[in-house]
Amino acid sequence: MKPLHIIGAAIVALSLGLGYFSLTQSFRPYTTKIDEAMTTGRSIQLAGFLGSNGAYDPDGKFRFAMKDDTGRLIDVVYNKPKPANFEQAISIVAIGHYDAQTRAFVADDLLVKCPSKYQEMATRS
Amino acid sequence: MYLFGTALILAAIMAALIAVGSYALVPFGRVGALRVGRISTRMTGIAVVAVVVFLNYIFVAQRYDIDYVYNYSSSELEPHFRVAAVWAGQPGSFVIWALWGVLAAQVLVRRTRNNEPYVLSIFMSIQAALLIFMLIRNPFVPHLENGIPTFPTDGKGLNATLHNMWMLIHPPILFVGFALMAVPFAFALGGLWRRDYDGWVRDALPWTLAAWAFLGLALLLGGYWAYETLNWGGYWGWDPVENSALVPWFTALALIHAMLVQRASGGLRRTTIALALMTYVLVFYATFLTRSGVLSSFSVHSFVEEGLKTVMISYLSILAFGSLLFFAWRWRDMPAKPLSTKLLSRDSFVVLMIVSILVIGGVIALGTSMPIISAIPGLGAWLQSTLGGAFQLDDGTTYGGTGATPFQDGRFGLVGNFYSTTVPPLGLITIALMIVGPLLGWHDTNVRKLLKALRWPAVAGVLAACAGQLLGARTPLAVAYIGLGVFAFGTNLLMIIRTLKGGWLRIGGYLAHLGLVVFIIGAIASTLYATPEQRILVPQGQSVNAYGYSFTFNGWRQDAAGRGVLELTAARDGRVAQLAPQLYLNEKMGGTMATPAISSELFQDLYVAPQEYQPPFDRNIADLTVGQATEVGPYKIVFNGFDVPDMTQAMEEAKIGASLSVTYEGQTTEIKPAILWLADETDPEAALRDMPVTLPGGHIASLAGFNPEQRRVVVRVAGLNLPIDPAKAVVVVSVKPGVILVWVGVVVTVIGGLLAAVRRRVEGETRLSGARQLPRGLALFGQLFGRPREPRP
Repeated sequence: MKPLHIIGAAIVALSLGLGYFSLTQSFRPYTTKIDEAMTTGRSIQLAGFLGSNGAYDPDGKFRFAMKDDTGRLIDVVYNKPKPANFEQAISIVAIGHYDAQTRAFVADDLLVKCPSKYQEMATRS
Repeated sequence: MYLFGTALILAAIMAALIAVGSYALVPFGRVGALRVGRISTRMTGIAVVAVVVFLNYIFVAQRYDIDYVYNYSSSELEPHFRVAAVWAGQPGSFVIWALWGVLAAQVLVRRTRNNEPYVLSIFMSIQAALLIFMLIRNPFVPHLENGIPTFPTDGKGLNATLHNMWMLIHPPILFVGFALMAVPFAFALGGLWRRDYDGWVRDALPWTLAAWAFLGLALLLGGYWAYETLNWGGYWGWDPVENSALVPWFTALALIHAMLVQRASGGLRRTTIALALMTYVLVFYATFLTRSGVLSSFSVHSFVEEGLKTVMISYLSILAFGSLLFFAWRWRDMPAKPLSTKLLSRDSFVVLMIVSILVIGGVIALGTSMPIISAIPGLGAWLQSTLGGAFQLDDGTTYGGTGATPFQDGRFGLVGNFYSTTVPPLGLITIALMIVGPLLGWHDTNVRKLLKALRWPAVAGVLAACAGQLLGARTPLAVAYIGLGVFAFGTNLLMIIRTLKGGWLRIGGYLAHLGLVVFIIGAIASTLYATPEQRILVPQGQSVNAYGYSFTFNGWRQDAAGRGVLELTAARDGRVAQLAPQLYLNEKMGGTMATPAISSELFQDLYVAPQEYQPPFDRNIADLTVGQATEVGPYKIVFNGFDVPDMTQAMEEAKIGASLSVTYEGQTTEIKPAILWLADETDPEAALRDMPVTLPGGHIASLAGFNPEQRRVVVRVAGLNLPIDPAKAVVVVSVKPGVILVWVGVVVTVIGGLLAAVRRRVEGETRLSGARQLPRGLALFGQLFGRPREPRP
């Protein structure tokens, strides 16, 4: 083993270690089942359909119901303004976590999928 | 229009395919085919330019009977944005990409010498593929409504997020980078084909440097776009769209370093070819990730699927497996040449640099691909249970509640945190290598001289680290970055001073290092030393203090384009900055858009992101929907519903009333204030008659407005004389130091890269002509733009 090989191997090992450690910290599972989403309090992505058109509650938070393919409904609370093209959504991915106390899904981000071509550069707001 | 445009695309594809075919025949002894190849390459160029011109024409001429024009343009769009709208959609961006490709091909014909048939047959096949993608999503298709061709009077217009100057420059420059990255790919495959494993590097190196510089510039512009207009809070969000273009930038950087080793000592032959092939596969992979819709459930701004998924997967597989097969086929044939065995040599340090660049690229590629990797049946679920079992949730419970039960779907994405924990430590290694590497000789180094050269930069680095600590570093990583960054700045500056004697052309590489270090220090300062984002609420006419600034809200207005503007000022130390963040409804997207305001001082940016505008609020008024309750002074008012009496007999008047429950000092009463409309009254002032009601406390309640569709009423209570709350602006402010270093750093890096490209181009020519010295002055330009010389016999 030459020193060069040892250092090279060390860099690769470090990246693998960091990568693995970081992966356990930051993976965010995807589901289309509301039942599954309600079993965990960690950050997940829940894909579903619009169950209601939604409205702002007195606290200024946007609330709507999301439906999965089994017809089950869940309340979704969103802290930001109503996203673009919300009403035309053919499906919605809510990124956030289920809060067992308020029995609602708290969304940090909403990905709204529309049949429209104007989806191409959705905003982050 | 449809037929003509389609014919042009078909002509371009045909010409490109003829070029591929005839060039491919040359190595098999058909020397005459070379001429056909050249002519058809020229023809492809003409045809693609014609496609672009024609596409531009239909946009400028407002042909809304063409679906593409209808969808991306409108009559209110300024002329230069009509041109830019050409690349707003998929087919347009493919043709811009192919345009740069075929223009590069015209230069390549003259610059590739003996490699010409090999390189151009491969290069033109790539252009043909891009044109075929464009044809599949034909932009000349007529606009149909219910299956009937129609000519709408106006188009749907350009999306507001694209309607700014960055749209004019970012995409074209990105595609210059993408298009040029195909050159080293074609050269490397040509090298494998010809069994010329060294010669291709000389000609491909300047192209690679240029491609890398343009890709870097495009990433910078994209970042600036996000920072300045799109209100993403920063210039880099680790979104798949951004990451996927960053990965080939890293592999291209590794490729450049490998090429330099090969030019200097002949080593790393296999690595260079592998990297050149991989980089272009990754460029196309980036396109695939963002265009095929595979990440649409994971990225906030991926393109939606538009029916290219299968075609793109097929082409990506051809590129990837084709390159791999070709590479494996020649693997044994490629002679390996040993590198210097000394650790303190450029050979060794460049190898380490390549490793450290590739692991960063690898980590980012892995993270970005995770939604695809985890979609492999079985693998996702296995990964989830393996990874999920290893940690605890924020609230202390294990993932999945009881035991680790992975979600059925199995797929998962990664949060941005993944990259911000992995990339910075790995980047530190890169900086450490950048400190010593440039000072070393290719094969060996005099250690005493090395230590002497390191002396002053090291002192500067230590001082900077101390300063970084005093300025309130939040992590040891930040201090390490500042210290090592300044150290690396010092050694590379030293190398620039040393090499300047040999001509300014030679400093490109060191200049690029210098720029990268400046960029990294800027990135560290603007993220790790930035103040947290603070949400402030500023009433109109009043001031609120945050981060040493005094924010005053002067009011809300609409600008000429109908966008809502919050007029704020930020004062500090007697200096007043005008801030005008915008908040408006984007009708094309149906959502609220926010454009931040940035006040740049030399060393820090004040970043103000608008969040909300609260109009003035009159406390004497209750705005109610059915069932809603509000308090007005001492009264609690509930709106029960409309009270519209039977009007069958009296047609001369109509009454609309609101049925309200009013609670005053514990007592609830029902009241019905109303508006009476008199049909016979000619004076409009008197036609609507108010029918107020006296409340238990002696005040008067009247119906000030109603909206039956929204089932909403407005009730005004007179006599209370409650205050009117002023309008308020809600903004999120933060102070980001050193952002200017980010921009300056990347610009210096790009200049360094382009300078290196010029040098390598001139050097290649000079070597061939037998001269030992690089030309200077006017002779330089002769070498750059003149006809290439044939190699000396």
